Amino acid sequence: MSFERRAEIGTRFSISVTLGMLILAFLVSGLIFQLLGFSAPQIYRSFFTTLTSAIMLEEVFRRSTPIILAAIGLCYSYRMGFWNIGAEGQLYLGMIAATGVVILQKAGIGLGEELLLPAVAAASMLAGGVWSLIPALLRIKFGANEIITTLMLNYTAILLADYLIHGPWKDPAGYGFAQTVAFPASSKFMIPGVSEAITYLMIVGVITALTYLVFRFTVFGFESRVLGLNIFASRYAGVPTASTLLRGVFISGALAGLAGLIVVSGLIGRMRPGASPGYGYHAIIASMLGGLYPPAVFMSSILFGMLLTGGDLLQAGIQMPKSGVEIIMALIFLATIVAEFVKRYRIRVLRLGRGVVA
Amino acid sequence: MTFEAFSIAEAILASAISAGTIYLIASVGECFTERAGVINLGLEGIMAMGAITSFLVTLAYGHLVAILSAALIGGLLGLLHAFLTVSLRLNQIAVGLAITWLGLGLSGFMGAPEVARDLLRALNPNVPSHLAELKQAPRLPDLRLGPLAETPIIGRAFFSQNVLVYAGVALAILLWFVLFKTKWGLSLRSVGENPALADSAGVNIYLVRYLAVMVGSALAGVAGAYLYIGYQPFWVEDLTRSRGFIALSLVILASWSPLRAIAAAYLFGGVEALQFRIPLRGFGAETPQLVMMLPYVITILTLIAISLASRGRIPAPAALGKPYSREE
Amino acid sequence: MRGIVKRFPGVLANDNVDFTIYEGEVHALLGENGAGKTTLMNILYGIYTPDSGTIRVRGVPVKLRSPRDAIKLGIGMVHQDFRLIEAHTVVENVFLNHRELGFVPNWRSLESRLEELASNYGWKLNPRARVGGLSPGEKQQVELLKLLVRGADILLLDEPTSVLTPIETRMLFKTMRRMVEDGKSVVLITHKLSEALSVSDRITVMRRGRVVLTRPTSEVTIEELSIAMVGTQIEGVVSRARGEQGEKEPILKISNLSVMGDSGVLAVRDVNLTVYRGEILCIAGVSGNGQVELVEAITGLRKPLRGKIILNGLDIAGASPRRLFELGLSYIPPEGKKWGIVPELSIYENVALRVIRRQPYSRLGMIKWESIIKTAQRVVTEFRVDASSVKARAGSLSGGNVQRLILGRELTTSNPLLLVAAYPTKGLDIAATEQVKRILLGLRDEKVGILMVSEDLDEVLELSDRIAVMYGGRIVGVIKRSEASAEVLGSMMSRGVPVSAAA
Repeated sequence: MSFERRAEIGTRFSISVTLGMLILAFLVSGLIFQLLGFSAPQIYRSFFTTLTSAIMLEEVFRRSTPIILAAIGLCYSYRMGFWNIGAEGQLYLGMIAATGVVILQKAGIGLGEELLLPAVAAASMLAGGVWSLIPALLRIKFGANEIITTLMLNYTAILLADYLIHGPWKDPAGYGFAQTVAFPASSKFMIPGVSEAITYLMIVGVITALTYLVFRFTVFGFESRVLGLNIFASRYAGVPTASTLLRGVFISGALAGLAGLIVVSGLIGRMRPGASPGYGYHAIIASMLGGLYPPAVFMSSILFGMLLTGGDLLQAGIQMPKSGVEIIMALIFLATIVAEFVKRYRIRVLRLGRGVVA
Repeated sequence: MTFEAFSIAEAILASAISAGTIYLIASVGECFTERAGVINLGLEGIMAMGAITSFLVTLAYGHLVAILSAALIGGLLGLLHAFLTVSLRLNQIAVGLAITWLGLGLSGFMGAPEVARDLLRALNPNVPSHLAELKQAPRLPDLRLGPLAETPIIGRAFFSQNVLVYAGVALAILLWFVLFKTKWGLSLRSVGENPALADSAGVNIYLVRYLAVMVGSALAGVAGAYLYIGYQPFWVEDLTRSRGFIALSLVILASWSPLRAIAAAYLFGGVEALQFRIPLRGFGAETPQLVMMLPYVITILTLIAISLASRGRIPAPAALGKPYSREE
Repeated sequence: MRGIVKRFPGVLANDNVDFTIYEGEVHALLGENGAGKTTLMNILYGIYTPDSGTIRVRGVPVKLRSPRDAIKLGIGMVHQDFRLIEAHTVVENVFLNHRELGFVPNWRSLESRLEELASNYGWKLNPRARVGGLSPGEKQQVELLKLLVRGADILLLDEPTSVLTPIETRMLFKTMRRMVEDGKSVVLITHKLSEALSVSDRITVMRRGRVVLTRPTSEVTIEELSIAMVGTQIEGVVSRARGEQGEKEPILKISNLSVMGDSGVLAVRDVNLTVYRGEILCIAGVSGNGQVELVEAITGLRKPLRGKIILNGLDIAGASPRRLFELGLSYIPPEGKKWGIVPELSIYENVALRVIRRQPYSRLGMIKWESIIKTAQRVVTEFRVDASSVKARAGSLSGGNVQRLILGRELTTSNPLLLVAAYPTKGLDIAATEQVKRILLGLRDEKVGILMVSEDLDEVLELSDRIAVMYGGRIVGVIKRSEASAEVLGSMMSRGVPVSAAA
């Protein structure tokens, strides 16, 4: 048996391979669940019911929103070959920054109620962006591997949030629970007359579309792609390597920070421990599943929103632990990777008799 | 020094070695793997699987079987990793992350009370299955090495630990010997430096890489087992706390040498030990999180330090991370 | 070997090839780049498996599934790119995975065995030396020792002279004859006619995957060989240098330039060089003597340590490649397929590579793809790049077409004052090589200054007006074409006498 590189990869072929591997991933996880004592058909039925009612769909969109934002953000990093695993940490920084602004506002410091929304938005994006610049600078100046640095910063960010929630930012009126004050309505994204989910959908839709345009029609989009494919050629081509890298990574972090804002202002209403069930990590898988192509990334993130919502249902219903969803996601990730292989290589079996004669 | 200072120093040292062993076993295994040219980011997930396995199997059959099963599970996950990265030549980093998430998810799932209960019953019906819900298992007993164990300060640390701690050191020395002093080690290192050369010299690249990954993963499984039954026998969901990733950076710090890994691992163990002492002395006892950040921050600083020290010329195995294909 | 067929995606590398080696002979396998010689030998060494055909060794049919099988049969290969572990010592490299290696190897006895074997062939090697620090000639000796120590009697050498100085080449040939006297057989894969003639007993010529002729060396002439290799006669190396002309205007002036290499050592030491408009200045020398670092410093890809680089009156040391492009400096990087294009991108995207920030290709940061596609189509037609459409993946182009694309892109989107080309014809087939040479000469006639690096002495002698020889990071000397010959250059290249001349 030998592997031979395919000469051309058609788009339709590419999509069908990905879908095929996805189905395989679901089958394997179903098998695992069955072995561990849960009914696989019941589990999958639950996932589908999340799409049936309007209320469910709304919940799916709400849950997907932070993932979409972070995943689109990650596309900027991954295109440049910067393996940013730090979306979770950048998301947390966004949450921290937004919470900080709200607390200041409540204490009387701030720009006023009307400007609260722009303030928190700017703060969360700035915080996320800056947090992501740290590993980028470390790579540029010291060649430090960004996989490890972004990961370490994730844990640092989560611990920082934990500290603040349990300590200086603990809500005195919160009955002793570790959580911050609630976010006022003026800090949420809202369009009068439109439901929350639709509002988010519009915001996210605009960002997705913009990103698509940037990738295809701007010099920055082109240069960042070249940077990711071949560093030498990009220098030869005159791409300003460092500044392009920093810009792209900053955008990734900013979008993740914005996702954090949505989590604390919209989804939960305050910051508390475990606010993010790993949205940042889900975003990584979603963006790779979508092949870094914004519309596809959008759709994969919705899939993950579905999985998360379904997971909640299952936990309430049949007491399936939440980590079950993580297993599915990990297998989806594996499926995505293996799909790459299937797309790129063709298996050739050397037939004996026509092959080398002994 | 006062008596109190003595006993604190003693406790810290003992903790350092105890905590460091987790890193030691895992990173020594990864040294082996990376020397063959494969980077295994799945350490974290494999550790978690090793931990949950040792939890359940200890309750069912005792410590020895538990350690062996953890190693077996680790080896199997390593086999998966090797298949994907060596035979299918997929990106080692992506595969490693996938295995980590799979391991973390699976172990979390298996650790949930209902599932754990069923699993324990399946493993050994004679054991009361509700034990699994207590999330606790008997700890490995300490082995006292005779009168040496009474030595002040270092006695508890060096001569009164459980068997896996001693095994860790022994493993490090053994692997160092194999890597640098034997014929097999030479072949393995050449696979990591220049697989094309090793191939034309007749070395079976695929076999070597498969074995290296499986050995490394099996050891990661054992490290997970140690984490649970040797160090902290309470099952919580985030038991591993990214120690697997820290072990990876330890390998770089140790310049891919198992002997240097001993020093590096105990150093990090020391940091971890301190982390629990400082709050107790009134340093923000209610909010220890800031101190808990230490290992992560130090890891980052370590990477910077390494880069500065070697002036950009990192002595990694030359073919690390690159899949090998004869026809490409 | 009989009836060997081997196919790769898009190319038939070996088309029904028959090849026989006799005991105790040096057999030259001659052909231009891409003729299929290396593939054939890789099959013999077990790296590739043929799609069909048979192989018999000493009369016994064999199936070679990996180099291990070949080694067992006494076949050994020394590849073009050294397959050595730089970080390990000589003895570690030679005895890697050797049968007789004990579990804990006894290095001392192995070292003395090595020294003995080496002195047998007149080589001086320190077994404990790190391979990374050896010269290419010495590295080759290590490779040969690797084979000898495993009892190889059939030795396949793939283009061994490409990294050697003329003196080292002569030593290699002497070694080969020694081996043959010891009863071994040697196959020399080469694309150089002169070499094949000077050292072999029999010659086989391959062209486009087929064997064209196989004859004893004594019975064949240069003309027959060149016709067999290319289909037409290759003239002897004729210089296409311009005659002396009057005013010479300097376009590039380098003074006291020193550049740091990758391993912390100075790669370029105190170089002084001037290039004039309307001339071709070739930097000759075995690769690895600082040529690439020098070129990278000139083209803005590497910051020099000290010294001045003056282009058309402006000091450009440390300037960015893009700025240099705007100032009229074009660069053809070595190994175009790896460094000059991005294979995953389409042809038109590659054409845009250098000029994307310029009007009319982009405005206010937004790309205008139509104008890029139009320019790309012009490049493809004018430079005869063989591609189905400009939307095709650039990686699917052959080496020759990639080079055409790169040259075309440089010349269509700018009017260079100075063209720097590093190994522009390396690995190209005859047609592409001729086209590149013609383009370079054409540019020279239009008063463009050309600085070229080449390791092919024939090419240097053919194209240059002046020749600079580089050794150990220094310019050993700069001479006019009229004063140069293979011998003069050879001695300059091997640590020889620096010839002072009008620079």
